[in-house]
Amino acid sequence: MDSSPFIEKPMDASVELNKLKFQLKDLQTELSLKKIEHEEEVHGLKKELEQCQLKSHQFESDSIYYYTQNKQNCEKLESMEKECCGRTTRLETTIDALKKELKSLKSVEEANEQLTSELKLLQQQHSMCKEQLKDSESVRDGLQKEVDSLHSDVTHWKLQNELKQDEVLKLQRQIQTVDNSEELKSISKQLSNQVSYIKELELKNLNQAESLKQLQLQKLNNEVLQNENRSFQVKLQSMDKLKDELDSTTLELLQLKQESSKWNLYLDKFPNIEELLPKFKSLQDENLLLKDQLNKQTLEQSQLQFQLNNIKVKLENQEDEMTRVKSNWENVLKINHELEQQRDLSLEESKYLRQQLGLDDGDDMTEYVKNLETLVDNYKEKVDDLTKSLSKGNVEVQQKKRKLSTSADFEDFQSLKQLNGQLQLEMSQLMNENALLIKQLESIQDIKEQKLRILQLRDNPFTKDQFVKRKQLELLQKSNESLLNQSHLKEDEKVPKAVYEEQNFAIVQLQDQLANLQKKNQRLLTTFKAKSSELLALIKLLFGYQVTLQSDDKVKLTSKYSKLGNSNILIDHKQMTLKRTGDDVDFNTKFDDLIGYWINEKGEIPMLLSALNIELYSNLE
Amino acid sequence: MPPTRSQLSLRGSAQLIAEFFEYSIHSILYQRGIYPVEDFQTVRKYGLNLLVNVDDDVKQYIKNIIKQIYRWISHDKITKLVLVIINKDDGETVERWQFNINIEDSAETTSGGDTQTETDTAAVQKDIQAIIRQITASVTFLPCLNSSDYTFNVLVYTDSDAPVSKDWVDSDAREIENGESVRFKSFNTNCHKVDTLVSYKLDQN
Repeated sequence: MDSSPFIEKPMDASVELNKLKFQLKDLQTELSLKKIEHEEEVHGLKKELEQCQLKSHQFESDSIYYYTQNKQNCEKLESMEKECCGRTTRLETTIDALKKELKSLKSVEEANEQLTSELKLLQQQHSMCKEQLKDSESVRDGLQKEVDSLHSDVTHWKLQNELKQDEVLKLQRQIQTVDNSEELKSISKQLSNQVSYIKELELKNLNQAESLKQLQLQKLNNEVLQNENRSFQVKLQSMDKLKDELDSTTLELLQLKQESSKWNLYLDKFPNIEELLPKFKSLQDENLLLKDQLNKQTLEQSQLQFQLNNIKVKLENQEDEMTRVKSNWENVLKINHELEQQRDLSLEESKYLRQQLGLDDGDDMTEYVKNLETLVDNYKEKVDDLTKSLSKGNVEVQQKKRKLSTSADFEDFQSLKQLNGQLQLEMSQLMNENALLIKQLESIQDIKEQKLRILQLRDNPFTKDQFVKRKQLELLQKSNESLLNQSHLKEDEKVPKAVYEEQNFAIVQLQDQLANLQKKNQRLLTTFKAKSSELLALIKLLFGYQVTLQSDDKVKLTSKYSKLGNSNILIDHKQMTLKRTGDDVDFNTKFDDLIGYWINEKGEIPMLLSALNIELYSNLE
Repeated sequence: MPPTRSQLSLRGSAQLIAEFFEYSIHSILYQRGIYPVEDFQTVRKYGLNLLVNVDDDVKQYIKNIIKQIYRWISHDKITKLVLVIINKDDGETVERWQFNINIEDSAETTSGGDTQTETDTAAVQKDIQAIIRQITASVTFLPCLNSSDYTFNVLVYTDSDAPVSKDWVDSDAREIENGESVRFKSFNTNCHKVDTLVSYKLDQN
């Protein structure tokens, strides 16, 4: 515990009082400041609360809006889905029904075709059978006639046989009665004749029996054919029924065709049934897209719900904080009240002390000091409590700030997440667009390349070269062939014609080469002339002499400083001579003077020429 | 024709590009030694001493090409000009100098004033100068050619609807398989962009 200043200096009570007063005032001002700060904080918190409430209202309204939109979208989607499903099912069923009908129609058509072919066959068979029946009937009639005639013959012959037998019996009786050999012989002859005749008749009879059997077989065949005919007639009747059925099916077919035409009219939007499927697929894709959108919306809604919950939690926290702040405020008010009370007490004490200072000294003084010390200690404790409460308040404020910052971070994070999602969507869209554009570009490039033409001049160096080579080759081949066939040469032909042509071509080639070389030579000459003229001009510029190369291997030098210009120096480098020409007296005398010294004495031609130029130049000046 | 491309600037551009092609072909023929040195004469162009072939046949051949190309460029019918150097013995393409002509849609009219066009032409001349210098310098990395064994041909890529005279015939692309390519600088007029690149067969020795 700190020692009180009152202990050390008990006599300066007024000073201490002043100090205490000052401290009190300071505390009061601090308190007022704190009050203001608290008020400001409360005001700020109220504002924040209002903003938060506003935000929460907005969020609530947004969420309601999103919820309603979502609901609408869901309903739309459901209706679309239902519609799509209904449409698809309807379309599928109709497609299936149409396919089935088509199949049944095809089968009916096939059956119809088969039946018509069978009918035709049966009709043909029927006509054939009719004809056969007619023939067999006619044959049967003929045979029956023959059988009847044969029966009549047989009965006739039987009667005759009986008669003959009667006659034979009569004759046998007669033989028994009349025993005459001649008559017997005649009778036996007659009998033998009769027997042979009977045998013949028996043979005939047997033949007729066979023919009868055949006829009976034919009859049986006839009967079979008749049965067949009957069955065919039955079949014909069934055919009539089938015809009726066919008519009914054709009617059905027409009806189905009408239906199909109706469907075609309905499906006119899609030129082919095959296009229906892509449309259906696109509808499915749309459906999927809508589902995706719905999912996104639900996600967004959940996010918003989450945000709303966060806001509600924050609101609750802030309300709690508000209650805390209010309680703090109340505490602070209480403390303030207590402090005021203590101030009043201290004021009263001070009054009392003043009164006592005027009255007593000694033992009372120590008590008084003790009282003061306790008062000071109380004050100190109060101050410590206040500082603690202040620090607590600060900590709470910091915590609030932290919470706020964390919530702000979360919001930022959410917004960034949304942004990221949007950017990813945009990126995917752009990637798709890019891929499409690349494809388009490739197709365009393909089309462009297809449209391009590569051209060259007909008469270009490469083709020229190739043409010459080809011609040479052809001629060489020809000459080779003709040389190989030299044995077939005519008497007046000493060289094959192809060889001659080849040689001619070679000559032309050589001529071309010669022309090229001449051209080259000409060019070289021109360049040489140009360069030599350049050189001569340079010599004239640098050395002051016009150099002229003469045809007789002599070089003529004309000084640019000579007055008349007709005085020259002729140098023959073969014979090593140097002469002057022209009638310029001045030039001649100077040249003669200089030649004696520079050539005869020194042997320096360049120096002579230079000296001459200097002399001529000085004369000119 | 797009409204931003005036006829005047288009013609000027075509003239400029045709001229560039002419001097480029001459320079390549000289640098690659397709014709002897004495066949060339020095002329001053683009602020450089350029060598031009004086052989009448070669001169006429290049002149004919350039005349036609000018017309095609003026009507936007040409996309590429290719100079191929071919081996005379086996007809193989050993070098392929390609000039791509791209139409600039974003070109502006020359209404900006004379100073604008002057600066443009100066900039274009500078670019062309750089390309010619690059062509000259390309001798350092391109394989050596023996002049007598090689000849050249000029191919032109045109649109299928381009008007073609009787002197021109169809040709193949004469591409170099597995060849190396070097891209040179490009220049840009108000109406066209010209890219230059050389493809060459690597010397197997």
